[in-house]
Amino acid sequence: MIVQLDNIKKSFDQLKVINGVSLEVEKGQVLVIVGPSGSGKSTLLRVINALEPIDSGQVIVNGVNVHSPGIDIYRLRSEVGMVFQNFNLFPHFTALDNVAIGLRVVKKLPMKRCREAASVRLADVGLADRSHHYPSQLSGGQQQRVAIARALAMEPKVMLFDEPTSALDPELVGEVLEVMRKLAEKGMTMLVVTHEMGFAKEVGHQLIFMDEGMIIEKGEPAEVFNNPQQNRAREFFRMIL
Amino acid sequence: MENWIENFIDFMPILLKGTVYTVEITVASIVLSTVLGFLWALALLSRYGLLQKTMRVIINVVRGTPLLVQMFYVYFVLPDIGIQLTALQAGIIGLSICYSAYHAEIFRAGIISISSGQWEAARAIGFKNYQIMARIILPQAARTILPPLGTSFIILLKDSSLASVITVRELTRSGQLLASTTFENMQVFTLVALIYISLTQVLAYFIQNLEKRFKIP
Repeated sequence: MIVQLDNIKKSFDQLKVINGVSLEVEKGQVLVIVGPSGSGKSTLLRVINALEPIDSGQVIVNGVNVHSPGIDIYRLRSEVGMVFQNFNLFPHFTALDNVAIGLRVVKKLPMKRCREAASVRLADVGLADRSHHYPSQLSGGQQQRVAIARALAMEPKVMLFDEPTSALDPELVGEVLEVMRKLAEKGMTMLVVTHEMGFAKEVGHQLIFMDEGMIIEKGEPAEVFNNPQQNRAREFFRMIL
Repeated sequence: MENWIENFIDFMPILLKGTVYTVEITVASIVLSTVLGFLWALALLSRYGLLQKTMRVIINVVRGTPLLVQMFYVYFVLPDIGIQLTALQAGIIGLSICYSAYHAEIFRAGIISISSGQWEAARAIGFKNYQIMARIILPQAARTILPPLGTSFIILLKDSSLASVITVRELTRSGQLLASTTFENMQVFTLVALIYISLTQVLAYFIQNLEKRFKIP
């Protein structure tokens, strides 16, 4: 078990954003998380690399209790890659340096080696010819692929994707999903918040449907889509499919 | 005209000696006020409420009193509590404290202008806060910080003339003394003004170059 969440609870003031979520993801598995906005999906991802503290429960990533005091949270975060809806590339660095900077700052490797490793990662996502472009000179799809390469450069054991294609023009969605599909095929453990149901069915091993901070459906993606048990989920799928 | 040239040869060494003091005060105060200003900005952005509120009060007090009064305070009041400073030291400290308050606000504005997504992305890679500040936030914030900071440096240079009232023999004071003994008011103060213009031009040029270095495509 590489990621294990045990009865996670988290409130912002009075609002219960996560209300008792437990789940397990095995090595090499892809977990797809769906649900209406405000259902706690993004917060759930951010809890896994401790970008967000929790009120109670336990998060275990690769055997480490993430929210226990005294753990090396910086090292843990470097082992959990994260990809954001808005890319969040560093605009003052080239694509190459965006990918290299983590190795330089966190792993303290010499810059030359960081750049060498980074150019391999950029080639992996099909952007070898864009190394020296700045984010503002790249399309949304290219930016998101650089962001994926940036996360992969740290050699993470788990990848978290927070609506990676939601900010993209429709014609650019495919190239990002393709990179993610390949990554899954290579055996990367992935937790993906997405509304791309085609991707979920094809690549996902497990799907959870969240509403009001709780998991209300759980199972194989196709099964959950075709035969949702809860009204709330049925309505949601009818709206987006 | 001959007279003017003769005077020029007599006056310049005296004025340039004053200029050395002006440059000294200015450079020291720019460095000190910028370092302090950055630290104050961190305190203003701190999540510790007490630190944040204390800093806010201090900055409002400093911003709310005239630089001249602050200089008098440092030079004439501090000795009463056992802190003896030379006029030059007092001038540098007075200017630095005064401008650190302005610089704190300039830094704060620059830092909060960078989206929280940048912090988040760097944090997710495993950066520590100081690494995020140094490698991600400040290089981007420099674009918004440098223009007002540069203006502030230029005003600071000119305000170093206020150190003349606590007996520092900087450029303005040198000019004043020279004019009162020679009665060549026009020539002396014209030269003083020209020297200030040269100094501010050098400073402006330096800042422009710095701005170019932080350009983002």
